[in-house]
Amino acid sequence: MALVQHQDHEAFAVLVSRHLDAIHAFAYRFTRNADDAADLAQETFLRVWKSAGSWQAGRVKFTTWLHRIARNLCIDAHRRRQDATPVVIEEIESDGPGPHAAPEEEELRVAVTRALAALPERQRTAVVLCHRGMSNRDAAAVLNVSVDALESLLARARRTLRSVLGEYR
Amino acid sequence: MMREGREQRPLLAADFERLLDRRGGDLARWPIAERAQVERLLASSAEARAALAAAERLDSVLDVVLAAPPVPAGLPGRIVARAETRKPAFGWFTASAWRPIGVACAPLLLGFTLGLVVGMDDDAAAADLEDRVLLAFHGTDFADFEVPGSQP
Repeated sequence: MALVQHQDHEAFAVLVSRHLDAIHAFAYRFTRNADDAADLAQETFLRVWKSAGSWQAGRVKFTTWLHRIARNLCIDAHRRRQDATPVVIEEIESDGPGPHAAPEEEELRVAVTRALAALPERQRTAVVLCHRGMSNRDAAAVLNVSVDALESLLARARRTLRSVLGEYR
Repeated sequence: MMREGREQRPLLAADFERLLDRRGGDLARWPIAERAQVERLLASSAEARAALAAAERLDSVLDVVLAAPPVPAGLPGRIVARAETRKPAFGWFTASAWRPIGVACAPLLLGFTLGLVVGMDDDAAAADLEDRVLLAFHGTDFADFEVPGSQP
């Protein structure tokens, strides 16, 4: 990152290759739209390039800073999208594993996807960051909350999602 | 987590369920120090096993729901190419060597801006007052002050 701060293009390429998977996955999980995820991932790294000088080593982990940028861009994009098209149920229903899934599994997947999309943003982000990914401590840093507050967000989100699962036994 | 020197309260199924909500059903991500206690509880409590099964079920549904497609093939190259056309914003300013100077100058700039704004407000207020006075006296002592629509 120190090299990127000195406008080293090769170092920037390495940085992109190292972190693009995580940021693209985060943006996709947040937006559930492949084109938006690619655009948001691109914009995240261009912001990193443009604002590299504002990151200070030792103050915040690079991955935390990177995810904060991605999260802010995702929130902005989500707001713009909501203004343009209030509910995008068709996309949720047409997305996913497809014809191989059993009908009840497919229904469950759609129901959980909808419930996840309906969660308050911080709860949804907590789930997206922590599911098989970041530690609770790192996710708390991204959301700029304590670990206890992060776990409280996760608990509320999981209780909501489990109640949806309870309807599909 | 248990503190040294204090006896650890046995983990109950209800506590375990609360912890599952906070940490998820993947016990490999839990603190190592707590795993033995969890194993003991799972061996003895059907309620705890049911809670773990529910958490694992949610995790497996989330595996599908949160699965992301692979990164588009051309995306990394596109990002790097776009960066080459963009100059870092205020790179000279944000570089750590210049930052303290910028911070030191900020109050000066703020004071100058405030002075300018307050000065402008005063001018505007004075002009407004002048207009009100002229309009109030129009038609009496200031007959030569021409106002559109007024009779000579």
